[in-house]
Amino acid sequence: MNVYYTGLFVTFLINVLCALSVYVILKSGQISVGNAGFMAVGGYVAGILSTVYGLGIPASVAAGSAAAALCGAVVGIPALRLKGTYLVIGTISFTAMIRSIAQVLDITGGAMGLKGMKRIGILWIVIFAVLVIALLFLFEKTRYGLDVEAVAADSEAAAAAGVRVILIKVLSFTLGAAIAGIAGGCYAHWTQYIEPSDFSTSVSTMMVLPVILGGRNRIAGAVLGAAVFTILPELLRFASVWRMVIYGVLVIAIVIVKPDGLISGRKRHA
Amino acid sequence: MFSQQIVNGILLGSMYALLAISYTLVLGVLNMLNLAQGEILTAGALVACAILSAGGSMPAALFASVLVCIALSLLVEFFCLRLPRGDTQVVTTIAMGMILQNVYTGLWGSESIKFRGLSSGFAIRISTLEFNATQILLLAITAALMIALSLLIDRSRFGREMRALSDNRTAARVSGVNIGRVTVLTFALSGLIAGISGVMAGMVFTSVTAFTGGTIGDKAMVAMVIGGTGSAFGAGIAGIILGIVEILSVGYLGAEYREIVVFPLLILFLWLRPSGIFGKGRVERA
Repeated sequence: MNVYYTGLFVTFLINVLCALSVYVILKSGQISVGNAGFMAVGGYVAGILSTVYGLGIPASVAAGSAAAALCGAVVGIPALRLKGTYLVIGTISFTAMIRSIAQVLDITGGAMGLKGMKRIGILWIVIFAVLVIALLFLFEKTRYGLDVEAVAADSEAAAAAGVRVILIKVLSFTLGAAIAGIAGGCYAHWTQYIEPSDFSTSVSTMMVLPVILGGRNRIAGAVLGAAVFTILPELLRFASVWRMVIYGVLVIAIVIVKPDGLISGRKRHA
Repeated sequence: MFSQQIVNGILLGSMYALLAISYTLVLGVLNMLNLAQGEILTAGALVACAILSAGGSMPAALFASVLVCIALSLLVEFFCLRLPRGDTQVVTTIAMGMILQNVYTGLWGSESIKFRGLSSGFAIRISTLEFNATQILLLAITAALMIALSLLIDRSRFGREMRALSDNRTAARVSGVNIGRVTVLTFALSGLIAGISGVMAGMVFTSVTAFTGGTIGDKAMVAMVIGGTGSAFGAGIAGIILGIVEILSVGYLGAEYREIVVFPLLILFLWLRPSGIFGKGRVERA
């Protein structure tokens, strides 16, 4: 593989992780527009642990993911008790808050950014992505998966049937944040340089769209969405900034014509 | 020094206040969070900027800005709310915001463009405070709009229909409220406010970029929650408080601390008082 295709492949894997982090939260009937914030937490924590404290790459990425999960709970718990709008605004604000903190701290390098991370091997990114996908497939087969679908379909009915709705929502949210944290850790160690503006609100929103495009009911939908999201800008390179316009129009068209996304089929439980 | 900063804060805040009111109109009445609202404001600012640079007058610029913003607002209503089925507004308005922002970058580039504001030497002095013509105009517009909107929502027939719709859609429909008409008018009104805020943003910042609206939009949303969703008055007051907090953070902590207080404040409100300062405690729980 030459450098171009290697880079594209890694971008694809990181986009898959990002899309899955949104997918997990969407699956429970919620929406997060702040996953770039969780990604930033994962990236900065992993980057600082490996550059300042000399931690090895897989361990630092895992620690970054844990820190992101913790943040997910802090933002999620108050917002989860409220209707979705507050969650959207809360997650957008969280991302802005993380950006402004990274901007002023010395340890994050401020506006100059954090550098000096060792390059992560592609193998590790593949392992992380495969691990996350495998775990999610497993989860969906368990009781947790059923509970999540029940909460998304009708949270009041689910509560009446004995599903612990709040717990399920917080868990999904925390899991999504953890996956975004892994994406951040991989990203930081792949580009070997991160700065606050890498994690803007538009990055968060870019993480939501592939899932909607590919199909929000299936893991395969999120993966397909990430693939389209990675390849389409390359194919439309001639169109420069207009390619994002084309992409946006495509997303709205899909939502209008095929509301469930490209891979629609809801899974049926006999 | 301190009082001058308060004045600057109020100016910055009045812009957040106006946009927060346009968010809260759409959210309160239609239960829809329009995440493209900030980008709509940007369109107004850019168009006004272009007209002023071409030698047009301020009223012409304001008129064009309002017109463009109303048109975009109706575009959002049609493509993001009416056409898609189901609960997809967050996604469709995000996509619309992205489309708009990239159209601006395509047409205007991502450099900041100078905004030719009012150039009158007129100024009022109150002891050590100095207000120039732009500042007086901005304060007057904000105050007038806040009063007019409060009256519109509380006193007029249209306002009554909006409130009926926000309370109970079905009940409003059977009582003869034309839901389609109220929806379109609410969006047009939010576009009108965005258009005025766009020109104000140009005056306050003295330059405009393709990203101007996005930044203002995030803070306006924070103001809306802190003020209490659905309350135009609350959104206005909270917007002004946010402006003051931001200017004081810059003044006493440094420019890179601009946003460090604003966003944690929102998280704090979500934990402690999600219905906001002026909310009626009527926050829908999931």
